[in-house]
Amino acid sequence: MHATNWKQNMNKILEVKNLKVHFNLNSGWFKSQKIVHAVDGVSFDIYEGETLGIVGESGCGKSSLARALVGLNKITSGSAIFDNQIDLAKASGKEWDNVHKQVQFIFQDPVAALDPRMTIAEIIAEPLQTLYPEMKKQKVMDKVLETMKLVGLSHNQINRYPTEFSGGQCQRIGIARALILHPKILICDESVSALDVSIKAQIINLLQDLQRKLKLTILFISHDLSIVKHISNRVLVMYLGNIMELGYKETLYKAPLHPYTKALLSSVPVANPELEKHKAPHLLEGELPSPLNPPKGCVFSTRCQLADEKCRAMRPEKSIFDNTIVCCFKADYNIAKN
Amino acid sequence: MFIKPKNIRLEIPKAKGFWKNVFQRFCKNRLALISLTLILVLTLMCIFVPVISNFAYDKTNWSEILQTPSPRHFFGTDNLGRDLFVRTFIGGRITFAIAFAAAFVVLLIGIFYGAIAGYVGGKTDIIMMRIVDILYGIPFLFFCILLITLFGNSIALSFIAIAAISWLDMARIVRGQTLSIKHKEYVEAAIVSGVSNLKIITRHVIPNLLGVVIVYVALTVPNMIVLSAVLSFFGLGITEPMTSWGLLIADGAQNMDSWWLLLFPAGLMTITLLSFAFVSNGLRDALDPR
Amino acid sequence: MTENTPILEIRNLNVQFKVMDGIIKAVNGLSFKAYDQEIIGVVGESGSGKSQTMLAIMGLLANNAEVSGSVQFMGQELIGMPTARLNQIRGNKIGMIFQDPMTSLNPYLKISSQMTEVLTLHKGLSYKDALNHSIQMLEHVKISDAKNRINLYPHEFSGGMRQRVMIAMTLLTKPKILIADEPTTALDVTVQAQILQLLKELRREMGMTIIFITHDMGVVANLCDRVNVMYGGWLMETASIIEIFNKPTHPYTQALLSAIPSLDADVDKLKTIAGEPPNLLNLSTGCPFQMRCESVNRACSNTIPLHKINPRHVVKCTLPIGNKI
Repeated sequence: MHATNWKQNMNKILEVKNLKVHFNLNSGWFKSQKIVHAVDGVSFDIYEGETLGIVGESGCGKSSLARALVGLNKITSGSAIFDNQIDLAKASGKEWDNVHKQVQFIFQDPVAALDPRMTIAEIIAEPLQTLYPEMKKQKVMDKVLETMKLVGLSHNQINRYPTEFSGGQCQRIGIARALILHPKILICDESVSALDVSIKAQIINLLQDLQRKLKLTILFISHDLSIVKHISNRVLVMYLGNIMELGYKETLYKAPLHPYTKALLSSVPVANPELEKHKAPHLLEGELPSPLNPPKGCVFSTRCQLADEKCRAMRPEKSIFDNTIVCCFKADYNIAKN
Repeated sequence: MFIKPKNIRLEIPKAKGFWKNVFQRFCKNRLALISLTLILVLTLMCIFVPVISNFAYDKTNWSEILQTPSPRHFFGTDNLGRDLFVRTFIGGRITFAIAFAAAFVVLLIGIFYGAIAGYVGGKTDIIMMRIVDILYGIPFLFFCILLITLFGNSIALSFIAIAAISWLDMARIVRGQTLSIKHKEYVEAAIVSGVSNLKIITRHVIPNLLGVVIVYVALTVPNMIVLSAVLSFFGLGITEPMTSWGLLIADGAQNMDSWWLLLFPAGLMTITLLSFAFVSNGLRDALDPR
Repeated sequence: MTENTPILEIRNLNVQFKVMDGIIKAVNGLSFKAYDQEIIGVVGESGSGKSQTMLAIMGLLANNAEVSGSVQFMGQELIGMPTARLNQIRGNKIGMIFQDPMTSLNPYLKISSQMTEVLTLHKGLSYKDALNHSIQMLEHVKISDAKNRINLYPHEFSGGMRQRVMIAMTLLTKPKILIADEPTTALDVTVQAQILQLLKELRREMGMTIIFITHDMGVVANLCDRVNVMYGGWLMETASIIEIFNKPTHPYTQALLSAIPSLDADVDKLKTIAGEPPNLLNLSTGCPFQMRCESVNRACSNTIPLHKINPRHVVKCTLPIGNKI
C-alpha cells in the first residue's frame, strides 16, 4: 500500500492505554527508590495495515515501548490489547508464544542480532521450529527457502555463517527470521540506523515491498525524521516517556501543533543548501531532564519557550484536533488553518 | 526499473565452519601444534608402554637395583630394581586419567552451574555465587585430609577432591561470560522467537562461551596434574606398588644420588605442563580472529 | 574565503595496509586543497577512506600502514615528518575531534586536568593560567556554570555536552584547522543543530578551517562551503555546495543523493544503488564504483581521468564531462 494513498482501515490491531514501563535500578533484595520512568503513560491505537512511525530523541522511551510490546521489557502498568484478544500487560508465558507468532521484531544491530555459531538456515528456521514443533523438517526447509527468496537472499548462501555477510545482508536475514512466521505486526527498532546510506534505501524499499505483499502492519521506530516521513502513514512523537503529538505524516510534518515537534522538525538539516542557509535555527535550550525524576507537569515544560505555570503544574491531557492527537496546553491550532 | 550492470560476478564461496577456521589457525602456530602432538604422543605412550614393555611396573628385581639408564632400561631402575621407564608411564596413566576425568566433570558442572547462575540472575545468581565463595574458602589439603579420614584412601578420592576444588573457578568464568552474552541481541531475538530459557542457555549461550572455556580447560588440566602430584607426594590417594608422577618425584627427591629417579618423572611432567600452556595459548590466539 | 595559497594541500595521497590476505588500499591517489576559513565536508560510506585520510594528515595511522604522497600544511610536509616536530603541529595547529567523545576523554581524569594539560604542554602556561583559559573556553562553547563544572568527570556530562568539551579542548590551542570525524552522528538531532551552529560561529570567531566528515547530506547542506565525495578510497567529486546539490555530476554522487529520503520532497520508492560497499582487500584496477555504476563502460577498468567542470568542480570519471585535466 502506497504511503500517501493509504486509507485508514478501521480495524484496531493494537490498543495501548496508559502504558507505563518503569525500571528499578536495583535487581537484588534491596530495591532502591531509583526508578527510571522510561515510558510514562502512553495511549494510542495502531490500525491494521498502517505504518506507524515513532520518533523522538534519546531517553524518549520509544525503544523501551517497542521492546515492551514484544515481551522484552516488562510492562509496569496500563494495558496493550492486541487484536482484541489478549492484553500484553497481563499475558502469561504460553500466551506470549501465541503473541510472538503474530508480533515480531527487527533489531538495530543487524550483525549482533544473529548468533555467530549458527548457519543462516538455522537462524531463520528457529522461530518456526520453536513455535510449530510438529512441523516436518522438509516443510521447514521449504519455508526457509521461500522466505529467503522474499527478502532477496540467494539459496546458495543457506549454509553460511553471519560473519560472512555484510550489514545489509544480515538485516535481510533478520527480516527473514521475523517474517517466517507470517506475523501481523512487524516492529522495527532503529532497523536501518546502523546501515550505510545506499543500503538503508535498499532495506527501506524491501520493507515497503514486503508490507504490500504480506499485508503487514509496521511499527517503525527511528530517530531519523526523513526516513520516518518516507515510510510512515502516521507518526508518533515522544519525549521523556510521554506522547507529544500523533498525527498523519502530511499534517504533522507540514503543520506541527506541538512546540517540541516544531523544534524537532526545524533541527533536522535538509539536503538543500538554499533552504538550509536561510533557515532560522529553532534551537532548544537546556538539557533533557533525568528520567529518574521527570518534571511534575508537562515533561517538556523545562525547555519549552511557551511554558507557563499551568504547564509546569499539570500533565496535559490528550486533545484531538482534526485527526491529530496532541498533549499540550499551548498547541498551535492556528498553524493548521494555513 | 533498475538495470543490473553486466559485469557483476556471482561468487559462491565455500561455507567454512567456525571450528574448522579455528583449527586451521591453530595449525599455523608451530609451537602449539608441536605441543599438542607431544601431549598426544605422551598419552599414547602412557596407554601402550606398560602393555608392550617386557617389564611389569611392579616386578622387583634385586639383581638390577639402581641401575643408570641403558638400552635395557631406558630410564634406569629404582631401588627395588623396577624398570623406571614402565613405571613412569604407568604413573602417567594415573596422572592423566585423573586429570582428564576431573577436567571433564569440572567442565560439565562448572558450565551448567555458571550458565544458570549468570542467565537467571537476580536472587538465584546471588545465592549460587555465595555458595561458590564459601567453598572457595576451604583449604585444599585440609579438605583432602578430611575426605581421607572419613572415607579412606583411594584413587577415586583423589579424583573427587580435585574435581571438587576446580569446578569453582570454571563456574565463575562461565558466569562472567554468560552475563555478557545474555544481553546480546541474538539472545533477545531467541526470546522473541519463543525459545525457552533452558534452550537459550544450551543453544545460544553455551556454544558462544565454549571458546573461552576451552582455553581455560587447557590451563586447568595442568593444574590438576600438579594437584594430583601434590596429593600423592603427601602419600594421599595412590598406594604402592601403583605409582603416579607425584610419588615418583617424591622418591626421586629422596634419592638424589640416583639422579635418573628424579630427572625423568620431573622432566616429563615439566614438558607436559609446558605443552598444555602452549596449546592453551595457541587456542586463545586461534579463537581470537584478530 | 581567500583564493590564494591553500592552508592544506594534499597531493596524490596513498594509504595502504599489508595484511595476511593481501593489500588493503584505503586511500588511493587523493588530491585536494583546503583554504583558509573554509568548511569542507567529506562525504562517504563505509570503506570510502574518509577517516583514514584524516588519520594520515594527523600521523595517527596504524603501524602497518604504508603512506605515500604529499600532505602540506602551510608549506610544511607532514608525511615523514619526525615525531617531535609533528607533535608541535598536531593537537596544536591541527586539531581533531571524533565521533565518540567518551573514547577521546580519559574517564579517570577530571575535565580540568585534561584541558589544562593541553595548555601546559603546548603553550607552556602555568596551571592557574591554563585553568582560567580552559574555563573561558568552556563558556565560549556555551557550557553553563563552567567554573564549577570543569571539575566534573566525563561521564557526568551528557553526550552533547561531552562533545562541546571535546571541541573546547581542541580549540584551546587555537588551531588553524579543525578536523571533525562524524562528531554529531551519535547525537540527537536537536543537539546536533546546536553543535553545527556552534561550529559556524567558531569558524568566524577563531578564523579556522574545518574539515567535517559525515555521511549526512543534510548536515553538509547546513554547514559546509565545499564538498568532497569519496568512495572506495577515491575522491570521486569535489564541488561547491550549490553545485553538488544542483549539478551532481559523478554517477556515485547522483546515486547517493537519490537514495536519501528528504523532508521536503515525496517519492514513491527510494532509488537504490545495487550491491554493497566495496571490499578494499585486493581491489581490482580501475574505478572502485564500476560494479555498481549504471553508466559503467569498458574504460572504467583502466586509469580514470580527472575532469574540470570549473576551477572548483572536479570529477574523476570516464564519462565525457567538462574539460580533461
